[in-house]
Amino acid sequence: MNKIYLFDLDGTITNEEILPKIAEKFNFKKKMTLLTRSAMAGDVPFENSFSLRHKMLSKFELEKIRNVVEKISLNKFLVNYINKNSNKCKIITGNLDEWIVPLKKKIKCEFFTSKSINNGKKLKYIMNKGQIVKKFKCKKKIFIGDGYNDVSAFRNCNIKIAYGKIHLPPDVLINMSDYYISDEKKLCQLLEQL
Amino acid sequence: MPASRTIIINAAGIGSRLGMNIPKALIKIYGKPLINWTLNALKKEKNIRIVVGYKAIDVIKHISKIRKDIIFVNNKNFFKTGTASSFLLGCNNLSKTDVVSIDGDLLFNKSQINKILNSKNSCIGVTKPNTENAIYVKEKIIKNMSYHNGFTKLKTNYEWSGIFKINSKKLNINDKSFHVYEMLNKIKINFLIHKIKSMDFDTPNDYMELKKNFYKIYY
Repeated sequence: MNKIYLFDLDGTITNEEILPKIAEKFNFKKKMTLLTRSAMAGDVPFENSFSLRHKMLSKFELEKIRNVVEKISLNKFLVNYINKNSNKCKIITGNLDEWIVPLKKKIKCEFFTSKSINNGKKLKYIMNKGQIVKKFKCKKKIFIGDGYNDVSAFRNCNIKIAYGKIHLPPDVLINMSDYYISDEKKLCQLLEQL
Repeated sequence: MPASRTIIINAAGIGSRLGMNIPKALIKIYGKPLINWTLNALKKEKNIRIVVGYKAIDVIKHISKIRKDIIFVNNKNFFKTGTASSFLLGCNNLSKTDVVSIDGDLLFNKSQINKILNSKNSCIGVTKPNTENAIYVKEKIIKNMSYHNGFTKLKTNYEWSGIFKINSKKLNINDKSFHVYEMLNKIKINFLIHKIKSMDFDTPNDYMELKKNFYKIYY
């Protein structure tokens, strides 16, 4: 394959961060938002933050978590683009395999996620995006992301797009990027041109 | 119809001759950053790419407040490259489309710009000489039409505005010129000359003059 599009999920394909939305259901949205934001900004290492956030959420029924994820608002334009180009597109997310199952039905491409056992209760692997991106054998690896945990992915791809639809990405991501875009239609236009 | 043309705004430079610690596109003229006036004049344009470099994040943050549908191209080598490589970076992956290049430190007349935007031919914009370190345009007349006949540092009737329109297929994407006019000198096509009221600013004196003459130039 000549080129692949690698998308971050939270805040890129989704119109909101997923974990704070789940936490809202169980009445601790504020705390979760804070933890999520600090991980996105790179104030806390993603692995530590994700372990902690997983611990907080794993005590709740998987069914209830998935019900929230089912209703997460998606950027329809981007989902449509991915579904039309599903063989070229992949989602690379730190989010957990078991939690985001409902999204896999709507976004029809290959997903790379953090992994769990025991119905999401136990963490088995926390996503390191750089390691995954490195493995793809392809001339043009294009990564689209918005958070600090996308830095390692940027390091291992040829074309880096910082995406700021929901919030401004951290400075380091913008500085590393080849393009900065905050509009989904312009993003897809650029992907076609690349 | 602003068909498929793309506007490339070069706003990556340091502006070292001016000596202000801010990208020139963000310097206030008549109460607003210069880029606001530029984008206001280009409101109807559907495809705008802005090449950023020096203080890229400040430029992006500011412009994102005005307009969302812009593709920012990051010139990570802004400190050692010139306008030519910023422009070519902005043109990257644009195949066979008309591109109009405008420098981020240029104030231009908001209606006269349409002559260039809508020109069916490759063209350049010139103005009455008005800055300290100008590049001038030599003219040749073919069938009563005025064409560009090279750039020079020796004064002529026309100062180059920095604006030009060309089809991207005519560009050599690997050109290593520093300045855009050096790059254009190598392209063997006839550029039509369009007169447009405009002024850029490289020095403190230019900046003072620009502030004084804002209204006359822009409207």
